[in-house]
Amino acid sequence: MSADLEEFSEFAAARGTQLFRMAYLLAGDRHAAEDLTQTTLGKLYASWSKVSRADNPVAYSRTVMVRTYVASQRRTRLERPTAEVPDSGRHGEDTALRLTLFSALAELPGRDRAIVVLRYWEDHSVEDTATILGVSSGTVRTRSQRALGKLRQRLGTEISELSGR
Amino acid sequence: MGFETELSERLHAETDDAVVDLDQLLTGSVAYGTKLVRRRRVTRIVAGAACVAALGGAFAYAGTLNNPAGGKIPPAATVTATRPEKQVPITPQAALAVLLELLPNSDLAINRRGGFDGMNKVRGIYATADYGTAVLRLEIVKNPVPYSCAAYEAGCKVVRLPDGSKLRLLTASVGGGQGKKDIQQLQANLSREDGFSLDLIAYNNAPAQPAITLAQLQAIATSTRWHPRLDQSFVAKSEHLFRPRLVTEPSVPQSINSPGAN
Repeated sequence: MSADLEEFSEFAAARGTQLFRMAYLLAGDRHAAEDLTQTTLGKLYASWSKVSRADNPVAYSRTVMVRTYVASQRRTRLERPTAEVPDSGRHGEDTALRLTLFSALAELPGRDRAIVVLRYWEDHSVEDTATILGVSSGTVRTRSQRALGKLRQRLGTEISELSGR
Repeated sequence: MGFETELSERLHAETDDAVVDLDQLLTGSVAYGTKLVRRRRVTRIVAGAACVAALGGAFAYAGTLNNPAGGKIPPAATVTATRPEKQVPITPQAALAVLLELLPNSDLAINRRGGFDGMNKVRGIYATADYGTAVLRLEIVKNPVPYSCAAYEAGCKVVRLPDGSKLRLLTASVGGGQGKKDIQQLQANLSREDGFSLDLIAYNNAPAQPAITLAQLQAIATSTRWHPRLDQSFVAKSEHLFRPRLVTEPSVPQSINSPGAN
């Protein structure tokens, strides 16, 4: 128990922040992001003997997080409000853009949002994204284009204006 | 700059300064992971039992096909209804036995002792294990008041676990006295929703090489092994660990070779 826990603790300390940031983009607010990160790490801990033997535990953790998120979205899709107000715990000059960006992301279906995060935040290729999500490359391309179209429509002018470009 | 590049930059800008309390995450994750493991184990047991029952049914059916009508049907697979073992209240020795199960290198823990604490504040049982360079005290408290963190306690925090329990974690340094080096004090105080409360207090005499860590205390405190009532056989087996004492004075862990240790 002890060795596993220590090893897991080291992994969580090293990867926790990055996983939380990814969760933040996926979930849209701090509290939901903390829940998603905790659920992901809990799943990893429950299967730690398997995870620690994996070729790439980091990639494994990413896959667990994304699939957990997509599954939770599928379950709660009907209950979720259409436009969530993101957590306003942070302040800055571009709060307006942050709100717009997060509400635009929130309007995307869970899987499309995951594709956007994997492709444009984690810089994964179409093929890698498809592997992580367990779908075909064609699906990723189609959904990616559709998601970008929606975001462009929503943010097209604001993303440049509000960020001062 | 293309829209995709701008989007990528904005996503990074949103998250680059996002930080999270990793200790809290770790505690919650370990608790959730432990729950998943337990659930998986129960599912496996139930599936196994269902499989045995199905095989038993199949054999019984095969028996009816082989026998002429009116023949005596042989019994299906022998079903031994195992009655759940009787549960009895946890004793100081049983508490120590559980603690030793959960402690890393428990064979190194010496000077085990414990008893019923008679002070109004505690009103429970305690057990102590001594590592030589560290000492760990466990208290199981009845009718607890959940701990909180005082403003001056910099290394203190309270975490709410997924099952509703409250866990206070504390790291502090206390003076060694008589010119000795400072001692590291670690605490994990768990207040569960079911009223069960558990305090773990560890002192590391050599903080540079701690024999006990806060992560270990967390794991012990949040273990699913802790129950106010345990199997009677387990409690009976643990009786030999020490003779419980009634303590009427506040008792604190004593260092190794102290006169009170036995």
